[in-house]
Amino acid sequence: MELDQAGYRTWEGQPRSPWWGCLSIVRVGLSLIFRRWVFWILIGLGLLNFLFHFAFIYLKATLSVQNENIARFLDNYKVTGTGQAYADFMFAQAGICALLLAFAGSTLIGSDYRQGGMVFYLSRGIGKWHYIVGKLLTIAAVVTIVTTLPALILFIEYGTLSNSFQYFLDNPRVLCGILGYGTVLAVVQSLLIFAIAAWVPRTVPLVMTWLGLFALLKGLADAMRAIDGNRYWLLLGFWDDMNRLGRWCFGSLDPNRIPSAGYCLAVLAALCVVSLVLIVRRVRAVEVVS
Amino acid sequence: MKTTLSACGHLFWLTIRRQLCSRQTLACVALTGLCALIVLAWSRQADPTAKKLAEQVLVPTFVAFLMPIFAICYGASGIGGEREDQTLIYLLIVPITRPLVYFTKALAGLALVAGWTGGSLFLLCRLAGVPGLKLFAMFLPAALLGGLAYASLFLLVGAVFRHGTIISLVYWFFLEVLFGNLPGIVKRVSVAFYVRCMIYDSGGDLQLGPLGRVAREMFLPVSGMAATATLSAAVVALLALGVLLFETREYRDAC
Amino acid sequence: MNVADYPDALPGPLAEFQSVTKWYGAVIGVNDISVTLEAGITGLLGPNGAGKTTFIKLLTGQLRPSLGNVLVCDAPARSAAARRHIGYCPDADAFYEEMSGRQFVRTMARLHGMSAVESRERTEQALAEVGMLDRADRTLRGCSKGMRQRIKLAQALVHQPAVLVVDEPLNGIDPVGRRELMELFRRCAARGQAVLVSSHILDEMDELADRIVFMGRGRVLAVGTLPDIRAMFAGQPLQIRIACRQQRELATRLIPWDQVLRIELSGIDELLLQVVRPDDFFRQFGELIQATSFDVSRLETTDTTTEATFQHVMSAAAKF
Repeated sequence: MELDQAGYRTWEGQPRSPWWGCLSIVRVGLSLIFRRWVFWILIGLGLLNFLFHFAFIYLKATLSVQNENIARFLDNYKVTGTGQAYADFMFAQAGICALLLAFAGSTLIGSDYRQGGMVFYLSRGIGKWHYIVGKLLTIAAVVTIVTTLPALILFIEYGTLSNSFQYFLDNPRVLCGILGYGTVLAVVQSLLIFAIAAWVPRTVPLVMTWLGLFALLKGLADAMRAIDGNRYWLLLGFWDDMNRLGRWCFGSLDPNRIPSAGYCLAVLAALCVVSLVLIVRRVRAVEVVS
Repeated sequence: MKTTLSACGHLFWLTIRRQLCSRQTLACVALTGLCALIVLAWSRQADPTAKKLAEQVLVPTFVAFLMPIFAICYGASGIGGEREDQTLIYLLIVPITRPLVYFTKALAGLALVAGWTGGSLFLLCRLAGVPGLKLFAMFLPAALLGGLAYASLFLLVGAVFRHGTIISLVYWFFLEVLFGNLPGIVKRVSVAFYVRCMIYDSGGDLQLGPLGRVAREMFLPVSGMAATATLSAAVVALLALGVLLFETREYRDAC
Repeated sequence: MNVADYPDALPGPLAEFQSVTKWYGAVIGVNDISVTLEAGITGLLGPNGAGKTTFIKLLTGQLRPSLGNVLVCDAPARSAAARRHIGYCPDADAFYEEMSGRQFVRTMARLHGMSAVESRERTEQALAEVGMLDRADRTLRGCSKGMRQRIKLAQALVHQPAVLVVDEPLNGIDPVGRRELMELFRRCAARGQAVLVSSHILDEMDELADRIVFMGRGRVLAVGTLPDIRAMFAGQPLQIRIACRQQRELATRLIPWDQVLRIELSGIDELLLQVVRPDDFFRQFGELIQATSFDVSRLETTDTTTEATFQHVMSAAAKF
């Protein structure tokens, strides 16, 4: 009787698949990030580049109406509209995204280890794969917000402000490129940051390891290549590999240039597998204390 | 007075010990190892000269990356790490005044940063062979002073902000990397600018400077003496500001 | 161990809140509090948001009062001099996890300025007091919650403070451990230390505290021993259970009395009464029994506990 008065009632529905729980993890994760002002500062700084491109496209469209020669002149700079331009834009955004992911990795994954959040998740009716997929989707969503979404907006803006909508029909590869590069960034970066944060949950070492991979491997790759001119050493720079694969999606990667997209894909796939193995080994409900 | 000194001494060694026996030290070792590999690879090229080593490896890798990372590692985590672990409370309830707590933690953090910066610079120069040894004395004062300036700044950021490490990272990326490379005098707000001024000033014989004619013309350096004075003043001012803010701040996240 | 071992233990108030107010921006944490802490065990009670945490943080010098003064052994609470006299066992389960329990307590002793030899001796004493002497070499990361709680208490005791502040000390401790810790607090009080225990477990406060500070809405609602507080709230209804074979007849006699608010018949021979002004009631009831032939086999009050008083104080506070 008291329970009725308190508003409690028996739930009579059927429980849905635990995979739906992944969406809840994404929702909770994003709300955790969105309520931190640090995130908004990073997003704001990340959007500076986007605003520049956005304004440039608008300016170009406005000037084109007055004088088509100006539009042709501006096209020479390939700042907007082309696959190359979008690839450059997304590569620049990926740099800022790396900082954002250092924060997201610490907040979303590291804190689960530091403060026992994982036990909370895994004590629900979900398994570790649901948890892993949920967290990966959350990180991928963050990556998409900073890289793919702004690029898509620029693409739509460029097409809409053109003289006709022919731009959309003429450039399906650009759209595929944005989505493809975005997918590469989201998949590789989310797996990598999850693996690092799972093994190095404290913020400072996490940031150091993440940035070390970001900056020093490229330096090492360049130095190794300089020894004997073997360009396959460049595969060590994961960020450049993602960039090359992204450019291949846009169709702007020189097919004769080593390393090819296939090699980059193989290296990144291997990196993803290693990251996944590291993640699976670290996600467990019970911490064994020696 | 004697007991306070004894407590401060213990806090100093405790900070050093805890910072050294941590995962971030392992990360430092790994990053230094990676840099060492870069230097080893570089030194195997056909014509390794001191000028090339400085321009291709030490400035972009050590000065621009490793040095600030060491500072973030032991600076931002000085107070920030205690906040993250919720152990700051144990420092706030011992009979050491807050300014002394901050100052002692700062001394320990600065000692670690100086040690790591000097040690890793020596290792890299040693691995590079003769050109490296020529550059060591040239880079050491700038690297030490730059590392200390970064560490004092990041220690302050860690004491003031909850996500001190991330804020330090954002500062480093936007103010040091982006602003520090902008043409004009706007770069004078960055520590990296003064570090490079000191290096370029002391490396006058090697004609060190930014790569490319335009970058060189737009660099607008200050003298080595002025850069040294600015960085020294920055270290002192940042420490004093940190002491003041730590004294007045109320840490509600400390339990 | 005796009082002589505790040079900090001084006669008179060991800690004092003088008209203390603390604001967090537009929110008030504590409002015009004036309390003294003396040797003995003081229980700090209040619901969530009552201001207990602010009270403790002010006392341990973590917060600076917006108005008024907090003094510990005549020194401002935020000063290093005051912190020599305060031992604080925080609620948070945070440690230097890589250390063993013994190393942690010794580290805290060293941070209080003790020499290596002295800190070793005091550490062993403190560990012995909390019953962790033989288990303190285990890494804190691998200790149970109860062990961690005891280590936290040992670090608060290691410098033999005059004022011991313990926040939710019995959380995670098994019943035997609780008794041991309560004994420990009593020993501390007996040797002249002021022990402030913040807790939500009211039953234990009944057993433990010499004095209670009730807090609500940032104010101190009542201070004193439980009987004193009950006397202050004489209008508080008291539950009384009476066993009497002439159940209905007795009820009939009691109904007209002013002190009796409610009568409930329970079973075949029990009456449950709710009365106010219990002193008047007991005097009048005694006269009634002497003058009549009611066969009263048992009379007991059922809610003289801290919890009942707490409920009453809180409901009184709600009327402010």
